[in-house]
Amino acid sequence: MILNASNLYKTYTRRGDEFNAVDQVEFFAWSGDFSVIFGESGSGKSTLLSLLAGIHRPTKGSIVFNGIDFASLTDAELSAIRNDKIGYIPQDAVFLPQFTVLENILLPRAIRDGKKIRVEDISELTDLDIFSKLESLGIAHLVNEMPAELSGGELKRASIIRALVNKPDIVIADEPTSNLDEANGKNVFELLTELVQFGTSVIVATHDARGFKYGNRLYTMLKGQLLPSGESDYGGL
Amino acid sequence: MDKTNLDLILENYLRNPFRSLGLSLLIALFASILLIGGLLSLSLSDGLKRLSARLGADVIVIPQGSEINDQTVLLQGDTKYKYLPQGSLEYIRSLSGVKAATPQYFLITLSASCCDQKVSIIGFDAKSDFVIQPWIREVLAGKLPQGSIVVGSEISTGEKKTLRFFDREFPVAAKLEPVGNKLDQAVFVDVATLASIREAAEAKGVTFLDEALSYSSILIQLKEGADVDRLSREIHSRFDGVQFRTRKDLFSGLQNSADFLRIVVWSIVAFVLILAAVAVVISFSLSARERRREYALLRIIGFTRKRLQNLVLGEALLVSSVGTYVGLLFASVVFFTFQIWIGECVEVPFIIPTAVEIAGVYAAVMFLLLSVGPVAVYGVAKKVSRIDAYAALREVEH
Ligand SMILES: Nc1ncnc2c1ncn2[C@@H]1O[C@H](COP(=O)(O)OP(=O)(O)OP(=O)(O)O)[C@@H](O)[C@H]1O
Ligand SMILES: [Mg+2]
Repeated sequence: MILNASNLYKTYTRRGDEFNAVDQVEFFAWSGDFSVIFGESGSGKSTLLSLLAGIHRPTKGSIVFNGIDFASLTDAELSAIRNDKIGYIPQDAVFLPQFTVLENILLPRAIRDGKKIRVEDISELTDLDIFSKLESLGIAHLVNEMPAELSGGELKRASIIRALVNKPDIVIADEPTSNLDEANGKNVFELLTELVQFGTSVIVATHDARGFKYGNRLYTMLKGQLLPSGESDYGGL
Repeated sequence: MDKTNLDLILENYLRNPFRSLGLSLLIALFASILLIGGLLSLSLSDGLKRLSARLGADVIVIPQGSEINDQTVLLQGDTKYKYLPQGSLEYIRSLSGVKAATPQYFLITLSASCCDQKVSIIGFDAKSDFVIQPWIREVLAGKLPQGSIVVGSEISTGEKKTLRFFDREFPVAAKLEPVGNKLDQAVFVDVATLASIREAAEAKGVTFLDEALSYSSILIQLKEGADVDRLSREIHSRFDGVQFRTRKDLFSGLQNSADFLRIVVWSIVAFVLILAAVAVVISFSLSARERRREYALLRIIGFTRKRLQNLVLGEALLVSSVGTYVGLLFASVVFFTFQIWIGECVEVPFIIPTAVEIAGVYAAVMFLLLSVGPVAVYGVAKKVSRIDAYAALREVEH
């Protein structure tokens, strides 16, 4: 088991009243799993993913990654895991505006290796793997542009590639296809499936019905609770 | 610091040139003020120290009607007909409390080969002198050769190393260290040489010492615990037309204005540092707020809190460094170009400090201004490092 969350809570306060955006969630994933979490807007999907990705602390409960409890890690250790082992794709893409799209994409690697961020040209990108992924999402021709010059959907796809740059064990994607058209949305799911085939564990929150087709573990979130989905547990592959 | 941070720091600096360069220029201005202020106050205190040490005497007795310029400790005005009474030197030497007394002769020439300005000639009595010869010993080993003269630092002596008075050439044995006032434009001679200058003048039909070598002033060194007031009374009761001036009288005005200047300088230093800190804090707080989502991204893709903090501190250091170096460069050019003019403006003895002292001022300004950025933004950096990445990520600008 690569990821195991148990008895997970995230409690927020709204107008003085406490409520659980994540409410007693049990979740686990193996390498090569494609977990898909459905759920209406506001049900707590993003909150849950942020906990699993180690960027937010749960109010209660534990998250064990590769046998290590997040709660037992120092900031440096957890940061290293976020950098290298977890690929997190936020719901709203964020980029450093002063660097090109390619430099942004390679940023996790630069951080890991303590290398400079500046890249002269895509020809410096010797990593053919990344190049082919850029091609498969149709943004290879945009990588030398500045982020401000790309559309929302293009940035979303670029941030997917960025999450894969350090070849993480887990990819956690928050609505990766939310602002993509039919064909591009399909490409994203195909790419994620490819990762799954190589043993990566993929966790996706989505409203996209294609999730039923590609996922092998399906969940629905309802008011903070994570429920197994009505569809077959081994639907996708 | 690793290259990733370095890249981020540089890019952030260049990205908002208006703010970064503006802030750097402000720091540059502050660095200039500090450097010039520092050099100025150092020059002043050096000048004062040197001057006070130079006087070497505790009391000066001068003729009534002549003035002593408190900067130069030189007689000034028309001293042509003002001499101390005959016998005054012997009388003073005989008084109890007087350890040593030596006469000086003072005259001003209008023309000399050295320069077109007036030259003060100060004659001393080589046997009894305890004031001028110690200065000379600073620059000249051994005794002053017979017939030679010593000049102040601003007198140019030409290739031949001689100075001409009334068509007679006098070899220059040494040039004194600068003291920062008119003494730098004076010529020092012993009694014998003074006599031959007088001869030369007479040969050209000029008389300017009508009585044979009457004294212009007598410098007195006191014994430990001597009663200055009694001494003054004794001299005044014996001779008319003399003034009795102590070292304290001479320097109090000078000391006061130097003290005042020092207070002003230090107030400016404090004020400038506070202003710089405030400017840096405001600018960095604004930029940190604007860039919350970028900081969140860096956290998410692996920045530790520490590294994020260092990023902000590094940016502050860069802004301060650019500012400091630009400022020091600018101020150096200004100060060393206009130092003489500045010295005249402040109207107190002013000498350029030694290389070591100057280096010290540079180091201090550099230390203060390089650290003001990082120290001032330390709080901002801490706050940035504690960012709630997920919350910041959700703050989408629409
Ligand atoms: N910082 C917060 N303070 C209070 N309430 C919050 C906070 N963050 C999120 N919430 C609330 O928690 C609930 C879950 O939010 P979350 O973003 O996880 O939903 P979601 O399932 O991802 O929705 P969507 O599909 O629209 O992205 C929502 O009701 C939201 O308003
Ligand atoms: Mg969401």
